[in-house]
Amino acid sequence: MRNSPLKITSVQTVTNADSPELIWVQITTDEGLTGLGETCFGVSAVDEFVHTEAASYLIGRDPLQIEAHWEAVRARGRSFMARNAEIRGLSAIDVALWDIFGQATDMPIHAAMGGRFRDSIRVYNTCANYNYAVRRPRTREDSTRAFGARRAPYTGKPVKGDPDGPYNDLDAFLTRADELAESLLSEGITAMKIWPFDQFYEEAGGNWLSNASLRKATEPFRKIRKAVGNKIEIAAELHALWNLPTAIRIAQSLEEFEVMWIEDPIPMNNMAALADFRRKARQPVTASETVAMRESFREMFEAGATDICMFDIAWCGGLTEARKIAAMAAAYKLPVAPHDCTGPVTLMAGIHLAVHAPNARIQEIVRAFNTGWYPGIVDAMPVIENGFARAPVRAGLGMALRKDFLRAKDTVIRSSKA
Amino acid sequence: MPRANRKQQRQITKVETLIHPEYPKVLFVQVHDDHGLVGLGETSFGPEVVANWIHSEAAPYLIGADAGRLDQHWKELNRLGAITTRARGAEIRGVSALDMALWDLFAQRTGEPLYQVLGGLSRDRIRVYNTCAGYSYGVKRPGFLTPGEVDHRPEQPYEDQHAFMTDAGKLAESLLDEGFTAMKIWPFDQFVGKTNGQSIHPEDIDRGVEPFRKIRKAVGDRIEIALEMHCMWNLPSAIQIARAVEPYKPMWYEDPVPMDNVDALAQFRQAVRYPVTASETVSTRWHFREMFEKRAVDICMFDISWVGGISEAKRVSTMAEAYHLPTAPHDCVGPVTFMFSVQLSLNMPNTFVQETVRAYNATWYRDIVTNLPRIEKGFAYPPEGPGIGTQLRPSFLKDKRLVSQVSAK
Repeated sequence: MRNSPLKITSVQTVTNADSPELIWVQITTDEGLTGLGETCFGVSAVDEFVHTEAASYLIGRDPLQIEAHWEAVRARGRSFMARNAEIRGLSAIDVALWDIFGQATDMPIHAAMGGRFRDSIRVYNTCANYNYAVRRPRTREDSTRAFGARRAPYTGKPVKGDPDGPYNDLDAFLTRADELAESLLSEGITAMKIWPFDQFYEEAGGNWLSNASLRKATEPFRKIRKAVGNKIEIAAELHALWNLPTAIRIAQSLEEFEVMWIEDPIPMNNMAALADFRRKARQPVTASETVAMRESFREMFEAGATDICMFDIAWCGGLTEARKIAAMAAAYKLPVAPHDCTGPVTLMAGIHLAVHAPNARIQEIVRAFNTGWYPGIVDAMPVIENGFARAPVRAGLGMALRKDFLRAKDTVIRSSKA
Repeated sequence: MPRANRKQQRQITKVETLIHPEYPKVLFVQVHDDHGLVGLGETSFGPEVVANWIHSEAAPYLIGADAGRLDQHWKELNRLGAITTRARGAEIRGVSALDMALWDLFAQRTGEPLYQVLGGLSRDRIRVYNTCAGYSYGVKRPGFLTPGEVDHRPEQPYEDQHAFMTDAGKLAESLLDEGFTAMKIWPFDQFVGKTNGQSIHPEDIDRGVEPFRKIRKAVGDRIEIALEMHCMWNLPSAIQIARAVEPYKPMWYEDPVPMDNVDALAQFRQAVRYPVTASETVSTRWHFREMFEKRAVDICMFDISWVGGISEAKRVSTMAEAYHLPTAPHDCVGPVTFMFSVQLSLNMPNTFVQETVRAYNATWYRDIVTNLPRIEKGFAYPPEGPGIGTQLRPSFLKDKRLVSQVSAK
């Protein structure tokens, strides 16, 4: 038992042009501990929220009063129920506080949360390229195209410094999905996620999809089943791009492949519509990384709108909130599947939660990121072998930003201090 | 039918955000087109956060785009913000301000007042009620406001928050003298901090009811009283408070519980006798649909600068109509939003009443904009001139303390 409480002495945000959609939060204490958090997208707005609204509240306070700080920062954001800039900032701050809690008590976060339920968690590979999503350098064209269209098709050109390695898995699922499935199985990975429908979004802005496009989009599923049978599970990611009848049409086109799940078929702002999709889909529905805060998930569960609860810890309100969402999902007999494809801290936090929460089903990973650019940012990576991620052993989160990353010319650090 | 001429297209050339330290929570947005017209929008809270979102995410999309594609821009900006938002986060506040500016621009192009572009007048004037804030309440105050806190500035006219906390009967008389027939107060906020809204002591309930008692004693039922609860109580506490106020027949109960559980709000509504109003804190048609569908509300309140702008406010209002529900647009946030609200209130067939703050109208609102709606004897009248009928004052734009950020071609 410590005699005097720890005190937060500074709140920093860290950005780097090579990962233009990511932002890290570092919270330091008077005893030299540093907690690390992360979030992504709209980083300039998040950065401003962390410094102008949250930092002045946090500095000088005891970092271990996580619940109180979560409520206070949320109140300062005046927002709820959605992964907007304020909630993303809150999420990053919350993970940094859990990191400090673990370090201060010399326990990994999963232990600090109440102990682990399992020693390792099964993973699936999201078949992204090295330069997908948050890692993609932004062009003017990106900004003038719709969010969905920003994601596809991809050139596959590597970002400066990234290996032009073997794991441009987005290109692979679009062109040679059979070889991709064999490559994953050879590494012990028994589940994969692909999104071959995105490329046809612009045909009609998500309002409909032609038969020809539907046939082309289902081709990867056909190739995979032909090459490896049902040795690998396949999740179909729809990225909330479609209206209801088109999403149902897509689901029907996937029935013959017995997919692991269909993810985010429609925008997540009408749970009655999602429940309607689920009744029609005949395959498990997963939702949603785009949903934040327990109140939104309550509505989703209550409507009977999902089979698998997906959340992104860096968007949904942090570990404090994700843990509550997971507990609530358990009350509805639903499994959870933490999101990645965003950043190394989000992945690590997801593994801590997934080994702790009894109803965790599987953890998302991106092998292109894990072998590509994640190791250039953090000083330790989770141990992933034979399709399973092992419970982290280091105290706290178990990773910190690399010293050379913090010192890099392109790295910008903004500090709020006492 | 003549086809749309490409020459009629107006290109967006510049997006400008303005923050003034005198109004530390308000963000003004100006969108310029290639014919020199300037559309004005506004939003509030975390103005720096919203400004950063606008310049880094929204402006690159808008600059060079056809200013007339109002509905498409609304949708694309929402996608850019990856918003499935139903709460007033930074992104939807930014979308709101931009949507407002684009509609002002469009209405100016037609040479008509905004209410005409929205479908014309449904009435010649709209009843207003006074929100009993003082000069420096809400967006005028720097820092984080503690619930129930009163910043009393005796030198300012209409310190109505201090008045309802101390001498509510006299306040009601003063409002009636000016022709107001409805008022809004929040005497229970001061007790939230004691328990973080988890319970309320009977003695505090009695203290909170006191202004209602005084008003009824002074003026009988000549004035309607709305109770604002600011989303700070849990369900049983909110019901307890609502029932304590029942003998005074409130005009409505507003935002009794946080707006993140519509089932809880519906339970509140079932437990009380008088109308429930909700909520300025809610954004976009999708959240209001849920609220209407669950029969959680009697009067639909929204804030144009948070809900998704004037186009979304119109869509929500029309949806409310389909559920036989009236609307009551929010103010208390800034002069531009107020102008937009009066325009929409005059247009929508199902407007119940329009909020106004006489303490603001008489003081700092007029320091910012050139025109405010004419308000007489408790009614607001149609603003004149094309667009929203007001602009930022030259003196405001020239003020050296103004922090301006520009995205241009």
